[in-house]
Amino acid sequence: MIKCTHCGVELEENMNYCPLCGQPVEKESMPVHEPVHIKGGQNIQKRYISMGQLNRPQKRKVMWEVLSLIVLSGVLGVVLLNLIFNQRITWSVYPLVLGLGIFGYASVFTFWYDKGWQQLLGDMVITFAVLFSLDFTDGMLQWALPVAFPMLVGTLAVGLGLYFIARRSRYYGFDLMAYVFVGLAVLVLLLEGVLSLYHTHGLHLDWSIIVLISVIPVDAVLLYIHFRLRKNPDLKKFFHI
Amino acid sequence: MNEQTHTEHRVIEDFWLKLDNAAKMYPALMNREFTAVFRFYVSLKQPVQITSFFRAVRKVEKRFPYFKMQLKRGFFWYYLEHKNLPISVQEDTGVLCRKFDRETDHGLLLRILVKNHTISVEFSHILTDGQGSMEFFKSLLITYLAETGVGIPAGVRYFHPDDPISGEELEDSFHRYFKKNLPDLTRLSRAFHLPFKLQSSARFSISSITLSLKQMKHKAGHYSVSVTEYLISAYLCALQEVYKDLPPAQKRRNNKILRIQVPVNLRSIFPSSSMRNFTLFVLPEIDLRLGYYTFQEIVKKVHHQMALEKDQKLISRTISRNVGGEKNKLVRTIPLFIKSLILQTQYYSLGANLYSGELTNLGKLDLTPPLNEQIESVGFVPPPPNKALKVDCGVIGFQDNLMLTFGNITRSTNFERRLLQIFSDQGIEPEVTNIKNTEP
Repeated sequence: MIKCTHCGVELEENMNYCPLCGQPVEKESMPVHEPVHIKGGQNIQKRYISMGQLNRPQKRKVMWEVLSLIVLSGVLGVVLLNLIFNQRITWSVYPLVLGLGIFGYASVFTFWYDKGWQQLLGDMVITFAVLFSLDFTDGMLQWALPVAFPMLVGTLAVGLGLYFIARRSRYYGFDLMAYVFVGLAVLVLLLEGVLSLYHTHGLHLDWSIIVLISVIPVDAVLLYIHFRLRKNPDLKKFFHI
Repeated sequence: MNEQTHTEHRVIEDFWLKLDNAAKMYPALMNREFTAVFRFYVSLKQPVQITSFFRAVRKVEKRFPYFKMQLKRGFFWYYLEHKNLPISVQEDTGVLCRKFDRETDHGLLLRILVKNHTISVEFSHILTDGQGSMEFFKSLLITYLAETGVGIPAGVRYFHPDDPISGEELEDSFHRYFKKNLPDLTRLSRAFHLPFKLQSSARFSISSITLSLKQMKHKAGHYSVSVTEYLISAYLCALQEVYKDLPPAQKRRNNKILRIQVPVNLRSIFPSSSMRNFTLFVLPEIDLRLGYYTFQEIVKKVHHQMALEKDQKLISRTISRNVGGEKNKLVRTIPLFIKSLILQTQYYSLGANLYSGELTNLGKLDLTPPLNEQIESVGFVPPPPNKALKVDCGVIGFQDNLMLTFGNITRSTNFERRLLQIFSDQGIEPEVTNIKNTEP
């Protein structure tokens, strides 16, 4: 039997993590290889560790490293090919921007995994940077600021609103679906508004109003199901007197 | 598993329960500090073998489905809904009796905590009382010891994981023993409260005194009273000492009745196998308007008050008052949020302000000698006291030890030290004390 150095309970010999406190087990018999010299003169103990021994954040970091290596080397390869054949960067700007965007999304996902609203904000910033870069490829800004930016801010606001509602919600169910529908209806209202302003320089709402009106009865049914039927299938207990 | 057991387990898969009469007030009053959570703990001689322990928990939790409940808000009343989720087993970080959490405790109203040699179980009072929770705790300990290879002697009485579940275990026994049209109780006057300042934050802390049970029994026998009566007398005497130390102006201002809430297990008076709350309070008191009391006078008064108040007919009257309130048609039809508001405003005026202290004696835990040998010590932490009571005390016996644990939300441990002094004056020297030095 071995003991967990953190919480002091007895563990089985084959355990790598304490099932009570989640701390890794320090075993004297773990295969340790010869010290390896690295720059700076520090000695480190090099261990062969399989994926199975890593916890979730460590696994995510490894996946991020692999993905970054593939994406960035791919982007570099494409840019080099473009330079070799055209002597300047032309068509490769699109895979370059998209590649850097993927790298950004993966980094946000890896390092802000548990931080819901920061992750959403980070994704929005990256999306805007990607769209801005794509619009700016010909040296002129056309749609990024008047269309993409308000749409993204609107999407972010709706996304954050839904995120905070989901956080406050005691039971996940049909109510969230209803809130998502409301969010989408608000979003299409915004999209039509932004597009009409861009094209006609005036606010003309048409189909988005129909979407909004259609959502109301659907939401009413969903909320009724959630608060009266699904959460409390036995009304007797909810109304017991 | 025999056919009857199987049937009963199947029947009990999905159910909900009304809160029992004693539990009804807690959801309205609970907050981050007044959690209504109490703890049993046992320190073993060997470190906890975690694999065996998890096995034991998974076995035992099947035997007590009525403890795997979530508190739900209805339109008129709160209710308990069974959820077949695993009971949360956590590392004990030293935070005592904290409020139950939807995420870490799976929304249930009990948790198990482990560290080194110690196993603790924390229960919400909404679920059960000391007796019900002690049965669960015993069952968990014995099953764990069996899992580690310790032989369980024949004849040990506990809830075996394979025992059939009786419907009576889920019963609200207050309702069974409710009698209509009994005369109302006389209204009590307000009682003295400890004058100590409350802690500013993270208020709840505990102190403990371990005494020799043999010595206590000898002393109690000397006065021809039970150990509980002797402890109550010492508690009242310590309150009197605190009162005596007050400056004259404060003495005049304070209430002069010292009254203690002592929970009584009603199963010893009214036959019941209920595992839910079935406890009421008796209220021994001394009135300092009549002058100070000697220890002997207090013991005599407490002994007779306890005998009188534990009378079955008097207890029936209290049950009748409490359950009658719950059955009242007007009360029943008031929506829950209004009921909760009324309870919150009435709690101190009709409840907490009437008592100076609380002492819960759970008796002696005895698992038979071979199993007792595996255990170093046993303790019981009472729920955090309310802001009027400020200090409460939980008592549990194990082998020759009697452990008194004080829950305290003030900056002072003066009361605990006074009580220790009284024991010392009586010739009882504590074996272990753990009382912090704080401001007087």
